[in-house]
Amino acid sequence: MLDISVKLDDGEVQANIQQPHQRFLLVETRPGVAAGSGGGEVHLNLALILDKSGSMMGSPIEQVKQAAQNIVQLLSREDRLTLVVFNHEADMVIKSEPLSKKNDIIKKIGQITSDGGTAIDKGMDMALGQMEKVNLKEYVNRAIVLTDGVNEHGNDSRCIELARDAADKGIPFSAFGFGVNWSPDLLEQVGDAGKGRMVHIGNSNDVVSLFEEEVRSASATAAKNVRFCLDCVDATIPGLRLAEINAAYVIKPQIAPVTPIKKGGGIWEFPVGDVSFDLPKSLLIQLFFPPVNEGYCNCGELYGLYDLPAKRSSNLKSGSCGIGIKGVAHHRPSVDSEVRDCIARLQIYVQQHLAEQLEGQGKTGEAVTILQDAARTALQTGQKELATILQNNATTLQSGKEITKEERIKTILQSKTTLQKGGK
Amino acid sequence: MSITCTKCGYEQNPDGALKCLKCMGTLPVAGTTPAEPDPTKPKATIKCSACGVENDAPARHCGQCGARLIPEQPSGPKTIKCEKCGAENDPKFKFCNQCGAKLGGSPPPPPPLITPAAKYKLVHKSTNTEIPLREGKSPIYIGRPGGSNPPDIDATRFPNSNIVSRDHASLIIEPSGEVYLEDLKGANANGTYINNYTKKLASGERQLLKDGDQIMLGIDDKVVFVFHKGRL
Repeated sequence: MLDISVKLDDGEVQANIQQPHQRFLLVETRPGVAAGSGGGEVHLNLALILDKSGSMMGSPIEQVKQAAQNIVQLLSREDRLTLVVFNHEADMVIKSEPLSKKNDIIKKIGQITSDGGTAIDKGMDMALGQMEKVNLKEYVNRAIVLTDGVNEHGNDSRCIELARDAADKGIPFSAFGFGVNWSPDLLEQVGDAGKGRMVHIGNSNDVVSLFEEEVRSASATAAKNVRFCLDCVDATIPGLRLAEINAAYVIKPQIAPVTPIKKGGGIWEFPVGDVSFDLPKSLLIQLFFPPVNEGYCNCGELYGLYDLPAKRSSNLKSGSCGIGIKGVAHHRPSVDSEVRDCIARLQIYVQQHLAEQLEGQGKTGEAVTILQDAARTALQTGQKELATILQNNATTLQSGKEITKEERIKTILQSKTTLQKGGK
Repeated sequence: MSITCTKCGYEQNPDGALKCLKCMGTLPVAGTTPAEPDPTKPKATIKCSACGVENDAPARHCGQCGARLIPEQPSGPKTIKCEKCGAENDPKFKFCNQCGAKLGGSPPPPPPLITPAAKYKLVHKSTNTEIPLREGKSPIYIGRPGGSNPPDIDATRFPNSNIVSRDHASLIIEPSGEVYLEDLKGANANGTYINNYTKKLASGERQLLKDGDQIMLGIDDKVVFVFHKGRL
């Protein structure tokens, strides 16, 4: 089961003024504990889509093979594994099958050799076709794509499209970048569209542990296909609305934009994908409350719809939280510190992306100003490491140099990741 | 009515927006209807220097944007310096807590004589931001943080600040009421100009400012302030 809680940055507004009030709503998931022990019932339908292009030759491909073999050992016999490798073409190594003959599979993985170019979408396409052969509702599904380079023989927008399709069908898609020559833009968009994670493998020795972490996180799935619903049908005071742009973001564990879906009749749906016990997801919604009189005004409610991983139960509904605001005669802003920190993180993330856009358009000066602003926000909220990275980027641009790909990857991941396993 | 963001230039922020929908930067508060003051209570608020929102007095950080609040300093001197040993003493002490010498033997030097009331302001041209020039402070440094003098007018608040040097220029308010612009030594090649780009101020050069003069830091109209001198 899934519990949710909601919190506004400031639950009070100035009463009796004729203008709307901008507020941020933090929606947090608190997965129930019961399912954790019953985790044995959860079966995984996993796909590994691995880059075997020429650049992976040597230690990288060997480490990746070892990581895949390790995953085979971890999975139970009822789990399913699809393994596709790709260079400029895709190759099926293991068709979606139950893991009854683990030794054969491990042997097959050991025979993978590296050569050729890179066409990520071909690998994704082939793997997804296999994954869909089972009844997705009965499994916890997860696809992991790993690449070390740019998609030179493939189509980037096709990758994003495939990830989005997969997420819509209930297959979260995580994107792993190996080394420093991959495109952070592409993998971030694949991870975002796929409602999965974006992971950087800086050191080939970490492949095994990072793969294992992702698979363990998948088996710790508490609720699948989670959609938060903002329902204003029975509101006492009508007129609550979403911000016109950038209305909602998953804020934890990694920041990613969410496109709200209008369901008609005053209901907005925010699909966020699967929610796990180990890294529960939170959502931040940007709202405008209507002008109100003094006193508490109910403007809507928020609940979650979800499927359970172990059983075939779908479209379950969480408890509902009231969304309201209190009009007071003399409003003094008082912002909840947790929500404020989330807003600050989102601000840094948005500004970092905006700076990249501006830099891409040759507007270096504006990019520097925005980066400095983001660095200041990071510093004010105690994010020293992030502040340093952003300030360094600003300095690099200011001196007329280009930010290296390695720095960009670091920056994007740092500004994106808000919750880490074993971390804060 | 929509609010334009001074940071990213997004023009479609709706009424009531506090943060820019595009870049999430804090929006200027102008145009919001201020809360009516409560006449029964003495007003004890601190204005946030970053976003302009009034906060309840004991607050140390702005409830709106989280910036640290700096309470206004009481006008009287905070401590009395002992003329003999240099120790700082509570103003109510008559004798130095450190060496026992009599305190306040001679009155503290009067603050520099300035023409009454803030009669000067700069207006940042592209964002139309008003910067009142603080009384009793001269020179007023214009630049970016990190130089030898902390800037009184921090150019990083405005777009294109990367072309501004850390110690770029300063304003000198003479007791007579005249205001001079000085290009600071060490200012980089971007230079300081008044009204047109053909006349670059030499390093250390001072120019008298007239009402309406444009102070231009660097070229290409990137950072321009208009100087306003009120009627005295």
